[in-house]
Amino acid sequence: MGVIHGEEMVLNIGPQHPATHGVLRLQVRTDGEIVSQITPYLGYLHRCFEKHCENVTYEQVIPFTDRCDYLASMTMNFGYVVAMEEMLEIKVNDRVQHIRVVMAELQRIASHLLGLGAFGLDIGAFTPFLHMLRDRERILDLFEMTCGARLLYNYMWIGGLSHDLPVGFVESTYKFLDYFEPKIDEFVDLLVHNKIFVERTADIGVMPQDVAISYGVTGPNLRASGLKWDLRKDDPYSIYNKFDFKVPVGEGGKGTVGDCWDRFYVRVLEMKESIKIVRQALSSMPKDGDVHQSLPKKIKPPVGSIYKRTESPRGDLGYYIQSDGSNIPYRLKMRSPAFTALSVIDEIAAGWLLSDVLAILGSLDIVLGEIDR
Amino acid sequence: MSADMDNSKIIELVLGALDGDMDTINAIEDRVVRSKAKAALFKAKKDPEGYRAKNIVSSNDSEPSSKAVSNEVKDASLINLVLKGLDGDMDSVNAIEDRVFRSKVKSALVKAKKNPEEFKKLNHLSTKSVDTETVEKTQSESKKDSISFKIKEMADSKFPGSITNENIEDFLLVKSDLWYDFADMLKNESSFLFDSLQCQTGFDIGEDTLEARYNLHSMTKNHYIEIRIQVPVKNPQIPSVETVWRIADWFERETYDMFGIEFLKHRDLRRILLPEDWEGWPLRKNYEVQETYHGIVIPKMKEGWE
Repeated sequence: MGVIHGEEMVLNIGPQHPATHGVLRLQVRTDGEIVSQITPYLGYLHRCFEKHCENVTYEQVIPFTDRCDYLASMTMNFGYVVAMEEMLEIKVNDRVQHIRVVMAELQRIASHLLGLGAFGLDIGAFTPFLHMLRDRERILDLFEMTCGARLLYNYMWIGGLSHDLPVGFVESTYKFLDYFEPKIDEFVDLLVHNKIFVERTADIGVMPQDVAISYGVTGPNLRASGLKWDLRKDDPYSIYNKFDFKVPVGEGGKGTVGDCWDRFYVRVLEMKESIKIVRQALSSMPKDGDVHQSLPKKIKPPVGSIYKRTESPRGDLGYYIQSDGSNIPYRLKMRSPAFTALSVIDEIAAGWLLSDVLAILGSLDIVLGEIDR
Repeated sequence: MSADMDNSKIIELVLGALDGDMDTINAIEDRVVRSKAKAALFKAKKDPEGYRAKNIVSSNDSEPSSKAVSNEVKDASLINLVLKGLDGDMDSVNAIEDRVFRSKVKSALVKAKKNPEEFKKLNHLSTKSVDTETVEKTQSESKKDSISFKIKEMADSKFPGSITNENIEDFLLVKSDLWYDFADMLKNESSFLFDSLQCQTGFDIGEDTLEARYNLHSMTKNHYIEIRIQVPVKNPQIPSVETVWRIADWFERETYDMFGIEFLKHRDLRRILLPEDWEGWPLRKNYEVQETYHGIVIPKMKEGWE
C-alpha cells in the first residue's frame, strides 16, 4: 500500500493546556495523526527580566532570578551569585560553600521529581505523580525551615547566604535522605520498567548527539544523548571538585540512545548521585563560619564583562553580566537551558504521532518561566 | 612602596582633598591606595580641623608627635601579623586586645589573602623576584599558545583584516561582512571545532553602535572564545549564522526582538518573546514604551522606588 496523503490540519496546543508545562502555544501541522511541523509561540510569560535588571542594583537582581525558573530557584540564585563573586573576586568561606551545595542538590532532586512526575502525568500515569509530589513536599519543608519560603527563596546572596542553617536541619536532611533513597527504587518499579510507559517512551523522539549540540541542548537532555558533559565535573564551580559522584549518561536501556525513555532514566539516576553529594557535603561541612562574613557593603564590580555557566537541573545556566562600574548592571543576559531545549522540538518531534509530541515535550522538562523570562 | 610611604602620601592627599582637590585622589592608579585615601578622607571630613591640626603639625615639625609614632609602630606590627596570618598563625591575631586594631589586621589579612604573593612582595619579604619573572614568562608564552592567538593567525591568512581589535585576550572583534565565513571556519576547522554556541546576545554600547556577542565553546576540545561584532545603529545588519549553529535561530530572533539587529538571510526572522506588532526595541538604552497597545493604556515606568 502507498502512503495516503490526506488534508493538512493546523492544531493549536495551548497556551492554556495542562500538557504544555506552563503557558506555551504549539502550532502543530498534522496530516492525520502524523505531525509534520511544530511552531512554538513563546512570550506569554514574558516579564522583562533583563530590562528590569538594568534598573535595579546587583543585590536586587537575586529575587528576579528566583522567578525565572520557579521550580529550581536555589540553582538560579546559585548561578548568579557564583558569577557575581567571580566578578567581584570575593571568596566565601567553606561553610557557605557546603550549605550552597546541599541546597542546590536538594533543589535538583525536587525539580527532577516534579519534572518526572509531570512527564508521567502527560502520558497518563497519574499515581507516580502523586508519589513524587509527596516527596517533593518534604524537600520544600526543609527549605521552608531554612529560609521561610517554599518556592521563591532569595536565599543565596552575593558573598554569603541570607540565613545560617537552623537547628536540627542536618538531622532532618539525613532523615529525609534515608527515607527517600529506597523510594527511588519504587519509582523505578512504578514507571521505568512499566510496560505501558516503555511502549510510550522507548525509541520515541530520538535526539542524536550532534543535533543536541548544534541546538545548544544541555543538561540531562544532552547526557541522555550519550555525551558525558556536566559542568560540575568538566568546569567545576564552587566546591564540586571535592565530591565523588558519577555523571549518568543515556545508554539506550530500552531502545535507542537519546529517546524519551533515556531522558527519563538519566534524571532518575541523577537523583541518586545528588543524594550522594548531599551526604558528602553534610558530613564534611565545617561547624563554624559566619554566613555573613564576606558580604560586601557596596557592590560595584570593575568595568568589564563575565559569562559564567553553572549546572542547573535543566542544563547550562549562563549569566552574561556587563558592568560599567556603577552599582547597577549595564546589561544582564540569562542564557536559559530550557529555551534551547524547547528550540529542538520541531527537529525531533516532526514525523511522530500527535500523542508522542506531548511525550517528547514532557521528556524535555521545560519551564516556561525560564524560557520567557 | 612601603606602608610608611603610603601613609604620608595619603595624609598629603587627604589634606589636599579637604581643600577641594579631589582630582589627585581619583587619578591614583593603585586601587588599594586610592580606596585607603578615600576612606581616610571620609573620616577626616567628620572633623576636618582636628585632622588638619594633627597632621600638619606632625609633618611641619621635624619630630613626629607621639601619636604618629605609635601609629607607625602599629603599622609595622600589622604587617608582621598579617604575614603570620598568611602562614596560618591566626592565634596571634586573635590575641590582640585593642579591638579596632584587631579588626584592622583582619581586614588587611582578608585583602592580603586574595593575593598573598603580591602582599609579600610589597612588604619586601620572602618571595624571590626570580620566581615571579619566570611565572610571567610562562604566562606570556601560554598566551601565544592560547586559542585566540591561533584563530587570529588563521584568520589573518584566510580573511585578512577580519579581526579589528588589538588586544585579543578577552574577545575577538570581527567585521560584520566577513562573519558568516568566519563562523564557518570556527566550526569546521579541525584545530578549533567550536560546535556549541553557548550564548548570543545584543548590546547597546552607546555612541550609535550596537554590538552582538557570541560565546562559543567546543565540546570536543574544551576551549572557549567570545566574538563581538559592532554595527552602526542606523543600519544594524549582521549575517545570520543559524545554519552553522542551529540554536542561533532562536538566539538571533531574541536579539532582533530586543535590539532590532537584522540578521541577514535568517529564514524566519520574527519577534519571539514580544507580540509581532510591538513597537520599538526594548533593550536599547533610548527605548520609550509605546503609549497604547490595541487600545490598552500602558502604564509608565515608575521612577525610583516608592
